[in-house]
Amino acid sequence: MAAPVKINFDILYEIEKISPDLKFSSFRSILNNGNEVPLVVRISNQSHALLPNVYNLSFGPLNAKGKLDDKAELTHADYSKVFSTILFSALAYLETNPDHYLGIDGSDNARAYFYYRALQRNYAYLDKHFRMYGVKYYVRISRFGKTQYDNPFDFEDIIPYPFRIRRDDPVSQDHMYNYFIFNLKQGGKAGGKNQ
Amino acid sequence: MKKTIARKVAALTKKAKEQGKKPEVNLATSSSLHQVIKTKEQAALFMKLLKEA
Repeated sequence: MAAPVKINFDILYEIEKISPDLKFSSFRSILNNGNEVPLVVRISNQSHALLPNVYNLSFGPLNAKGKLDDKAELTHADYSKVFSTILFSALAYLETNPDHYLGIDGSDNARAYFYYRALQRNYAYLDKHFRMYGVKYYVRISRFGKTQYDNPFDFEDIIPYPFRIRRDDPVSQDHMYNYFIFNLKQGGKAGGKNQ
Repeated sequence: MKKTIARKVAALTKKAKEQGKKPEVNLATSSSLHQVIKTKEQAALFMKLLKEA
C-alpha cells in the first residue's frame, strides 16, 4: 500500500449496492492484475454499547462464508479511487446521520500509519467535510517493578484519548493512533456553503 | 460542500431508499474501542474528550 492516495469525491467507483440505511454499500475495485474484486463498506448495525453515537466502519472483500474480511491484503490498481469511494460512502451516511461518529480500527501499525498518512496528505480536502480524530490507548503504570521482569503495566486500566488530526501535526509510525474517528463538519452538510 | 458532491450524495441517498432490501453480511461489531471502553465512566470521559478535542 505504498502508492500515495489522493482523495477526490468527483472520481469514484460506481456504488452498485447500497442499503436503505446507508450502512452497507459495495463497489468493484480493479486490482493490479486486472481482476475485479467486489469491496464492501459496512457500518455496524449497532453503536458501541456505551457510546450511543459511535459506529464502527469496516471495509474489504467478502470471504467464502460471506463475512467481511477487513484484513485482506489486495493490490488495487487505483488506491485513490478506492479510498475516495469508501470515504464518500461514509460522507453519505453522516449526511443522513449528522450526530453520528464513524470509527475505523487501525488493525496493525502499518495499516494505521497508511490511513494516517492518507488523512494528512488529503487534510485540506477532507477538512471541508469531516472532523477527524486519532485515538491513542494509554495504559496505567501501576507500580515500578523491583526487577526488570516485573510487569508494571495495568492492562485493565486503559484510557482512550482522542486527538484532533490537524494539517501540521506529524505523528511518527512508532506512536501511531490505534483508532480513527470521523464526524460531519458543521457547515459541511449538503446544501451548505462551498468551503 | 461543492454542489457536484452534494448532488452525488443526494443521488446515492435516493438510490439507497429505492433499493429497499438490506444485504446480509456477517460482521462482528466489536472494535478495539469496544474492548478498551468497559464502563459508563470511561465512556463519558471519552465523549467529553472527543467533544473538546
